[in-house]
Amino acid sequence: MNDITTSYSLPNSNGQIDIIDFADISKKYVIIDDNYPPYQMSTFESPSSYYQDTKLKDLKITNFVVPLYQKTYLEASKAQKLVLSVLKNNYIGYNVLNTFKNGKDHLLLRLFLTSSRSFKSNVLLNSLMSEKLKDILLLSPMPKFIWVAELSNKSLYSQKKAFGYIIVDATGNNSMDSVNLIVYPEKLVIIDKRRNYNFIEVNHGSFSIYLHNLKGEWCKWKT
Amino acid sequence: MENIIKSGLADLFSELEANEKVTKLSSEESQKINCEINTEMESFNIVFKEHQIKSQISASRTFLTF
Repeated sequence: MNDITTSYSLPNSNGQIDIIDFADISKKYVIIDDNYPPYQMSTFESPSSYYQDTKLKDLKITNFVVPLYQKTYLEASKAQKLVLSVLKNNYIGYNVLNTFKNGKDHLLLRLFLTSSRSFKSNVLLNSLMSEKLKDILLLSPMPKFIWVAELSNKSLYSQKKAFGYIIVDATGNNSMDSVNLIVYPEKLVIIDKRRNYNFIEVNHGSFSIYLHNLKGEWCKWKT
Repeated sequence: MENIIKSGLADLFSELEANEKVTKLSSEESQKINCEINTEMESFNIVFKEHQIKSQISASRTFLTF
């Protein structure tokens, strides 16, 4: 975790927020290539590195198709842009926090798409989360699918912990109307019906990160 | 059911407002934030569309070459 460097920086009036985007951390993917036996392992940056032919060895991914649930209108790049716009905003962004002003630690950002049902189920079972924050998340009305930007830092993430969320309606458009709730370490940003912002000062500490977004061995491949 | 959830949330916020420090932004300030971010998102849409077209051309070329 210590070797990971900044993905990008967001400038604002109080300096800049250095962000490590979880999507930029190099990972290996299991792929199916008709020219090879199934389940080859490869990275996103060099997907054809296992080819012997030098012409095919350096192929790059330029486009890909991801089937999403039919009501999911907000795609990943737009959801990410919306989250970053919130984070760098001078009034509701990350820079309003003392956590940002006191220490200049990197902000680790993990953006994922999930159903509100799974998310709330995970919140309910999160033993490290304060009861107050649990109540807020569980009682907040959310659409069927949400983009969750999980906020953490290097030291917390190595303990599989996070300290905040930005929850975005994945069935909405790419405007502030889709931002559902912002949970920062010291502040909750509640957006009321008139789209006005209310800051509630809370100290909910850190909580476990969201694991098992997809089915797998952990649930015996059952829903 | 929805009403129960809404009233539960309202009760919770009233409790938080009574016990915690709450700062409310005026509707003008809130509108300013919304406008700022929405304008940023609109300009991103234009860049995104251009990028999509460029990627499609590049992807088609890659496909034909392949």
